[in-house]
Amino acid sequence: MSEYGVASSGYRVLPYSKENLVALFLAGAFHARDEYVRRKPQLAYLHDYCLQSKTKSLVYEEQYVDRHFSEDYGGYYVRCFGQYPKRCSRIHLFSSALDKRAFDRILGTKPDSDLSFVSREHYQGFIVVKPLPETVVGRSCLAPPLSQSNGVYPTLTPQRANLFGIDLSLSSLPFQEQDHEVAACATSALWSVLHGTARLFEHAVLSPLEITRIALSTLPLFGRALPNDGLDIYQMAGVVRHVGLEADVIDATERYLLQACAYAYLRGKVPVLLGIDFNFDRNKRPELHAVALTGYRIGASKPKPTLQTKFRLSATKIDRLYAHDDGVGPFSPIDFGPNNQIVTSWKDSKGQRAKAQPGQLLIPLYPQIRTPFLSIFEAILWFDYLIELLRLHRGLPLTSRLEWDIFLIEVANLKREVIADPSIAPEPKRRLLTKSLPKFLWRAAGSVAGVRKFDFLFDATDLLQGRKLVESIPYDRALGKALATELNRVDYSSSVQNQLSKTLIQHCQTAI
Amino acid sequence: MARLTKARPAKSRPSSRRRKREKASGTKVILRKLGTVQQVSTKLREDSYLSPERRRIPFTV
Repeated sequence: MSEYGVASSGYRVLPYSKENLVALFLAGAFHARDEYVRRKPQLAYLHDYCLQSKTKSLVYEEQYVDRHFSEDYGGYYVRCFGQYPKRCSRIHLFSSALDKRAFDRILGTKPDSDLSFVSREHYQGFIVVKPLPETVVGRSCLAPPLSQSNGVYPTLTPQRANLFGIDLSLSSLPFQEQDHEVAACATSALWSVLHGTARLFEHAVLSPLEITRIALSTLPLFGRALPNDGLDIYQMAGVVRHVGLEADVIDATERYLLQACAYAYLRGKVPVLLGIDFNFDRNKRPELHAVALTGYRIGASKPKPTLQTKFRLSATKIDRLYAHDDGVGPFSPIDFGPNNQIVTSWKDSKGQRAKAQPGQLLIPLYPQIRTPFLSIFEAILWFDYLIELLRLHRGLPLTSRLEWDIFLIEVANLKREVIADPSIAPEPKRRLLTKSLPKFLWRAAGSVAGVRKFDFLFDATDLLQGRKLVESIPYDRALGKALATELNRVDYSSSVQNQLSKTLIQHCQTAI
Repeated sequence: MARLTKARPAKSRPSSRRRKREKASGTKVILRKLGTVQQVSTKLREDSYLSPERRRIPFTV
């Protein structure tokens, strides 16, 4: 390590440049080849990240004990004949122009030292460098890139770091690349996803080795467990159950389902694992890769009419997803291409962004969230079509088709939104704020041109056979009255083959 | 003075019977069209169902 001039004090402060970033990775790695590190896609991505985020300074901690690498080290690397180091190093990123003298002054506890250089507003996060020859990108907590400011990242959680006594914090979700030893892509993606759910649903955080071992203890793969070559969806679901959660798995090949489900859970702060296939040739073996979805971007102004009833779902306005993709980097963009394809941030042989087919979505959920998103989606699909038919054939006072926003929400967040919403009348607002509600709810809000018309709240923890609908928020009294009159005139529910939708109709006969 | 042109009959409101008929036909259309949502529900379930063969393929890339 000394060949790169690591200071005896155990840290270095450098201005940002790709050369300096490479040098620090090489300093932290173990017997790494210079050209290999330079060519790593993760390093290219991190360089772009630093440029886009206007990173000005790097602070290098020569010795850093990372809990997750220590677990992997104790269970796997330590038993190698060769002596791999057990300590990691860590690179901190700052948007302020720090230099060694200024940093020395801060550490020297001089009363006049300027701490604003290392304040929260300048801190962009850290990258742990693992002491390995190739897969060196360890636990990394970075803020979303500044250039992606129009992205929405509900899954981020507070992350803290202590740099020589200086408390640093940011909102992030941990990322790391697979090491091809204890973790393949599935383990890395699941590791990121479970970091998000650990805070949300309060469960233990597992290291990559622990994830792989748990996965293989219940359903062993054909072939070797370690070095690990990958997990299937059953094994990943097994790990989710091991931490006390339940795993919902759906096929998200169809774009509307990918957008709808990813949005519904991400908006509820639940990171989601997405499986993608790089192989389009049906005669060849699938090339499945797993990423952790962390956010999305609403790019279109209008939702795309979906399914035969031309349902308008807000989630179809998403034009980009963001993923912790261990083959690329944190918050890497995934765009939508033709024919349900996605455009990943991987580079193909021509240097273009590689296309893939989206596949499975695995959603780790608190066990008491019993009502799946699709059952709410289906009920609203029926209800929406009835409303649309009443608008077209019975003159229901709506100027155009409703657009529906359906997502999971925690009761505290719901009440925060309700108390700040001026469009809710005082009496129903008070009633809603003081009402005892389940911890998790599904919210389905129907609007026309951005103006709310319907807002239904469903108990996400209710039994499958339960009533589920717990509350509605009135916004348009005239519409509610006209709807109630029409629904009382004719029994439309007899033609509706969905129990929850029937409940909505029954509710609208009186309540709204 | 005699009228030179024949007076057009004033546009009358639809008769109450016609209004009732229209109302009934609107309702009939709604009830008939609601039946089509069943196919949409079925498609939603089929689209979201992950086949057992695809569940067994490991993620290796």
